[in-house]
Amino acid sequence: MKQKNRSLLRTALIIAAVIMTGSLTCQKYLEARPDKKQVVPATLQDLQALLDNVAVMNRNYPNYGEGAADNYYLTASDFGALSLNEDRNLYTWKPDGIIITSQWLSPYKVVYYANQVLESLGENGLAAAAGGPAIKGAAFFFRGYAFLQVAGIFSPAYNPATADRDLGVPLRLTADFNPRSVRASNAQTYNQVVSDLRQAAALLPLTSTVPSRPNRVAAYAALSRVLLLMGDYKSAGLYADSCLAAGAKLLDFNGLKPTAANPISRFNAEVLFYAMAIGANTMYPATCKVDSALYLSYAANDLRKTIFFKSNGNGTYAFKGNYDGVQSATLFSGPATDEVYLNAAECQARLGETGKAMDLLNTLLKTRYRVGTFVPLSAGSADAALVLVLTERRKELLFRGLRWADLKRLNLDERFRTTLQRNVAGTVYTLPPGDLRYQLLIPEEVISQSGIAQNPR
Amino acid sequence: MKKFIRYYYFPVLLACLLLGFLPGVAQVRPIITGRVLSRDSLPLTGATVRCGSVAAVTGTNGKFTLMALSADSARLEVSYIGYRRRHITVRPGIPVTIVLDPEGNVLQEVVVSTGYQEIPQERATGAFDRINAELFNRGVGADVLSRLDGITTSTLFDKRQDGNPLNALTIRGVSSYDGGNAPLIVVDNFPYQGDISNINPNDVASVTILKDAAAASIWGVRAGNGVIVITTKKGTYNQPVQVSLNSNLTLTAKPDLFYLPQMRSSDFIDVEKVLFGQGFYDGDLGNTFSRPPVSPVVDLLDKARSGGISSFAANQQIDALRDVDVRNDYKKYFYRTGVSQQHALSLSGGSNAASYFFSAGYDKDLASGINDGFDRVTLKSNNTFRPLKHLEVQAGLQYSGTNTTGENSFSPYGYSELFPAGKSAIYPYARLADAGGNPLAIAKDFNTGFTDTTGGGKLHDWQYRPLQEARLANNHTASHDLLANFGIRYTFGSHFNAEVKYQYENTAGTNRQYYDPASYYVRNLINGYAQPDGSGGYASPVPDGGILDLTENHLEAHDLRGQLNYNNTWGKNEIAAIAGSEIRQDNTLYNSGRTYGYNPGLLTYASVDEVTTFPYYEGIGPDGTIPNNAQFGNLLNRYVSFYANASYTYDRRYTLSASARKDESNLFGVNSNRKGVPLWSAGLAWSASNEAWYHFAVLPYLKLRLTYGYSGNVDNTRSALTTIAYVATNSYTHMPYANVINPPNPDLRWERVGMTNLGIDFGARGGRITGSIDLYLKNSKDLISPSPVDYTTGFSTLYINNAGFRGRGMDLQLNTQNLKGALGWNTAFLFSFNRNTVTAYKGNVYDASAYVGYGLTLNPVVGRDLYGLYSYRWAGLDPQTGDPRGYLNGAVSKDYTTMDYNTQGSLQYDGSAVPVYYGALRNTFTWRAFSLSANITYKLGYKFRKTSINYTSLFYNWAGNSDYARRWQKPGDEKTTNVPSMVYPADYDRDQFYTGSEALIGNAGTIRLQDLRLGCQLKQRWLPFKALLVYAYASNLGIIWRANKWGIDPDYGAGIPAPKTLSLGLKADY
Repeated sequence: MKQKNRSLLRTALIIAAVIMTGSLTCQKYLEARPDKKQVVPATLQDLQALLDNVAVMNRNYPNYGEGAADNYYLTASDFGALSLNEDRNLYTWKPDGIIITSQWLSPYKVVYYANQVLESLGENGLAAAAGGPAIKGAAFFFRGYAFLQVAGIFSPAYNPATADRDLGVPLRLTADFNPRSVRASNAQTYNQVVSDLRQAAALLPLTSTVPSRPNRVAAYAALSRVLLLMGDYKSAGLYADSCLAAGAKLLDFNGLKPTAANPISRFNAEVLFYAMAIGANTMYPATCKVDSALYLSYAANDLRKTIFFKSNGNGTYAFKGNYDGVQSATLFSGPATDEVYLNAAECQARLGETGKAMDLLNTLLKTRYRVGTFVPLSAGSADAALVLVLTERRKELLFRGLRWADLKRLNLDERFRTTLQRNVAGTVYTLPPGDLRYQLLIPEEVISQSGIAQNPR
Repeated sequence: MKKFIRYYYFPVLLACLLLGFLPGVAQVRPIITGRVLSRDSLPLTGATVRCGSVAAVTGTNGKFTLMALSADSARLEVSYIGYRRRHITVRPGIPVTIVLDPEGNVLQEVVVSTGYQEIPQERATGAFDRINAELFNRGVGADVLSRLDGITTSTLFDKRQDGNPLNALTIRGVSSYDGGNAPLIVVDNFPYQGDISNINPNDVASVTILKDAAAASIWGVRAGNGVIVITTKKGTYNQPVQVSLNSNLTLTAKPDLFYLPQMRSSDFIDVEKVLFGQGFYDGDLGNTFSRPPVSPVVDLLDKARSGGISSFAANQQIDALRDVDVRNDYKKYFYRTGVSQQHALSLSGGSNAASYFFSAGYDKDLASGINDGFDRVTLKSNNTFRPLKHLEVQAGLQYSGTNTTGENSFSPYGYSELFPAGKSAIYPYARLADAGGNPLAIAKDFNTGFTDTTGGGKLHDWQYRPLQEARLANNHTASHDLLANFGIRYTFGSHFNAEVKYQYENTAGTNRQYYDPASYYVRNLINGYAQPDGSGGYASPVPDGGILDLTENHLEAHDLRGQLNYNNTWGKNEIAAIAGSEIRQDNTLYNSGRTYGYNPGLLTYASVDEVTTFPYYEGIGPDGTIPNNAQFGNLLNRYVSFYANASYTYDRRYTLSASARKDESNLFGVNSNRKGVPLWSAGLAWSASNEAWYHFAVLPYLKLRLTYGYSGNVDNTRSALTTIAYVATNSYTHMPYANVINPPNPDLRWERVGMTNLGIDFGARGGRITGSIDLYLKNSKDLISPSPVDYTTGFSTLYINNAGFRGRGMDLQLNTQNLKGALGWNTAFLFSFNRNTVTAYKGNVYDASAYVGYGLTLNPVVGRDLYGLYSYRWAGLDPQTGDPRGYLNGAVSKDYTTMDYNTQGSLQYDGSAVPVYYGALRNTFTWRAFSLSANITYKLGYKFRKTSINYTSLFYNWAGNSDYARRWQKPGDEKTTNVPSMVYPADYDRDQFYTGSEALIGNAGTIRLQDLRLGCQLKQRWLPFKALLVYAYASNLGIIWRANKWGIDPDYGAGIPAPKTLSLGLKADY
């Protein structure tokens, strides 16, 4: 009996031993990834894949500036047929109009992706590896560009006199979601944009092999844009010059087909950074009617008159000059060579260099007029040059996500102040220069979660 | 059918022949035959008749056949659950009738299976619900899970959204926010990973539902939602060969489309006329950019306006459409009476040293949708051998092959799927076929006036004809599931045995969808990218010919378990203990791809340029690349588990049980020490009626149970580290890219579900009344749930462990024997109470409208029901305008924007959107050979939101509602209706207010006659069978009572109630 018990005990022990051994060898077994497509980002390939997410990084920038600007109007029946009250509110500049959260969330998603890439580069010691600086530069570019997009909608125009006191936007510089958001001053906001873009320019390669990726030329273009908005014409002009010197090319509109549904293709030669605004119902070509005075301002031999516009057959015109090769409510809003020429020309005019300004302007315009018909413009003074440059800027950069920011900054200058008007079935809405409504309301969800200050009304 | 017999019956026949050679089966021995009856002359099916080491189980008519050990007298022991065991001496060769008396302790012999061990219910502390084969086979469905509907407590089938019973089924409510609610399905000891519809219900011997912690926590982190243990049929040692055939035919009515609140065609046309007059369609009509579709009425009105036709002619044509109802065409051309057949043949038996079970099943279903159906072949074997006295070897093999057909994914034609681009419904006057049954076109992606004329006949036909799509449908899914298991058990000493079990599962499925060159999908794709070819015609980069989409998936799972069992009884002490470890892995691979220009006759195909971005035809659609639909996936789950379970019983009075388990899994990005979670349970049972002092003659059986413990939920997709997921290729850049799935969450933990259960089992004298009551409290903690965060972080919500749910409830089961004798009458009453409330949740958002819905998804607010229904308070219609009115800060208001979005705190709470009380009442009458059973089910204590007219949806999306006819039109109407007046332009917030208001909330309670079953047990001697049962079964018979006044069946949400079915079948035992 005793012996039997002993053998029983032995058997039980053997089984127990087998079980224990199993438990020791199982740790490696449990390291296997549950989904092959999922990884913890640790290689340059992973980080590049995040930055190559076109839907997040390139095609999701705020569009409310365009919706509130004066490039277009809606007919009363189209206004009535709008399905979203938000679009109606925006169109009529309703003071307490609700803001769709994507206007805030989408650019900050770009900021998060950029911060995540910057942190993963550091944690994995990849910043200095081959290919690392380019990725780091791209992350800085995306972050700076996204901050600028948010500021353009939710902050006042950059006014050097008050920028320290004006409310900018929150500047999240880490991927950690725990720190509370705080609104930086407008000065801090714009300085952060400049600093990010400068770092980007220092790290990015001159050209991109993949068209959605930013490069040094794009960083120069974006710097010229932000510094122009800040009124630093000297620096803005220098970056614009660098951009043009680095090889930014112009499209000759004589080579485009005016009868095509979409004459200007995606990733065309002028696109320096591929950025698209979120689509809006008001921007559908079938609904969105080009401002009639603006349409009439084009000369008959101006190719833009047929390339940018399509007649609706009833005296109204639709815009088909989207730099994305599609007729869509999703509009190109990134830096392009034509914008850089206009930035450069404006800086020269403002710095008193009338000749340089007109040369730059004429170089651009030559590609916009029917070949052999263009008569170069000339200006008797720097101020006259500035007026010419701004007139051409209005005619070139429409539906490009730039008009709202231009209105804001030009309203600071008595010479260029504009009062906007909408007429909906006899009801007239106006937006005077410097109105508080130029800073749209921050979505209530953001205010309630973060406690940051709402824009005043 | 012929083919089928040739291919599938042959192996079975072969197996039958081979069995003839098995030892013990073919030997000639004296035979004892007889019947086992209850005192009231009812045949007892499943009674065990034992003669020494030889045993038999009675068939459906109570008959048994037994090989006697000698030709002389034999002593039989006859036992049956709920009846007193009887010993009787018989003489072989003379048929004998044995009558059994019911026993007081009716539940004593019931054995419940946890998948790890079998426990006699009398010693169980946990809450088990066991469904025997007889009850399980009351219904005739081809699916295992749906047969549990209405015959079990604690299970609730929510049919509002999903027809798949696995997604619809919850046990004792919801215990996870994010991890799904599906219970764990265990088939013969191991979790079943494949599609549960691969299991043939005819192979099921019993189903046990593990409800509380003591019952379920042995399954650890997968038991949080409850466990269903399915035990399939096996042979028994020393049992003569038994052959059983079950065959039935089910007819299913066409779904009642006219139940749906579709807007009257005439009303719809009137609205279109009003909107046309307002210029509402001018944008679409003049839109040469995307050429959006307009309805035929708008097209006629436009033609009349532009002088293309006279207004008289236009109105005449329009008026002709007023009486057209698209549902008539659907009923006529898209539905048929469903016919499904089910055939199952099984063979079982056993000798001293071996037992066997073989079965073959064939199901064929032609569902009511003209292309919908499936067929299934199942083959199963389960064999046990005892090569040595102490060694038992078991081997089983199960094959299931299914073929499913349906509509093609990109060519939907169903009633609810048939809507043009940008719309959510079709105009109700759509005509789908002409008088001759030829398909007619409807508006689809573009303005038909444009697509019919553009290209001057050089493009492919651009019309969309739903009936043609239905006729060209070619979508087949073939799946093969193989399950092999192997077990070995060695008994050593008198108390120990050790066993090793292994199971291998391999499922391969292929979905094949062929788009005919004549299908709209192909024609539209070719036309879409067509461009002028310079010589007057058009060229498209999409090749002519069909398109073939293939999707394959493959699952491979291994389970290996080692377990040591200990059973000992000494004196008044009984111990049953198990300990073991388990390792399992399941790996799912899938891939899909597309072939253009495919010719099924010649198997040729064409190459395409998938890189270039092509412009859309005349720019009316987005430029794009030719889609290639390539996708690959590889998912892997691994678990390592250790477990132990022990119970100690003293004097058959007190039982103490305890279990512990630790699971570890390949949770992603988690440190090893966080990969696992220990879970445990403890239980106590007191058989009061076994106490010496217990003399309550009224209640001779009484047992109390109390358990407490934890089970869990696991979600391998969450991670503590930042994780990204790769997505194949972006069509702009042709580069792979990645999305961030999780921002880092170092505090990620496992979800835990704690449950307390208090149960009472009782039985009255003579087995007249038996039943059980279980009360439980369930606390789910650390549930992963969305928490809104500051959008500035780049996220709107983060998923972290910060929700908690509390469930409380009761399961009551009462069986009574109301009449004995020639006319028998039994009643089973099932009652479940289950209420789930929220104890912690951080996901509440600012926007009030986010809470107002139809209660189809979890809607957690702390302190309220998990599926809460909320609404805007209703102040009636404005008597002057018919505007809906609500309350804002206590005053009647029409400030819809504020009420819709900013009044979260003052929303009205209407109650739970899922039943709080539910159950069934099943009465069975028997008279001679006949039995009639009716199941009445009820769901009570909950609310629902009715759909109604939403003018925004009507104008923009063509989604109407029959309530339009009851809208406010003139002062005074507000006294009889709550349906607001129509206004132009549509006010989205006004519509949101009305459709989310209290006016549309109703009590969802229903009582329905779920099914009826009539059976006739033929016992005539001239039959070539031991027993023949002929049965008829009818289900979904209709609502007996409903609380709502709208005639709505809230069980099916906004969908159509399940159509009536009628089945006829027979079951023969040889």
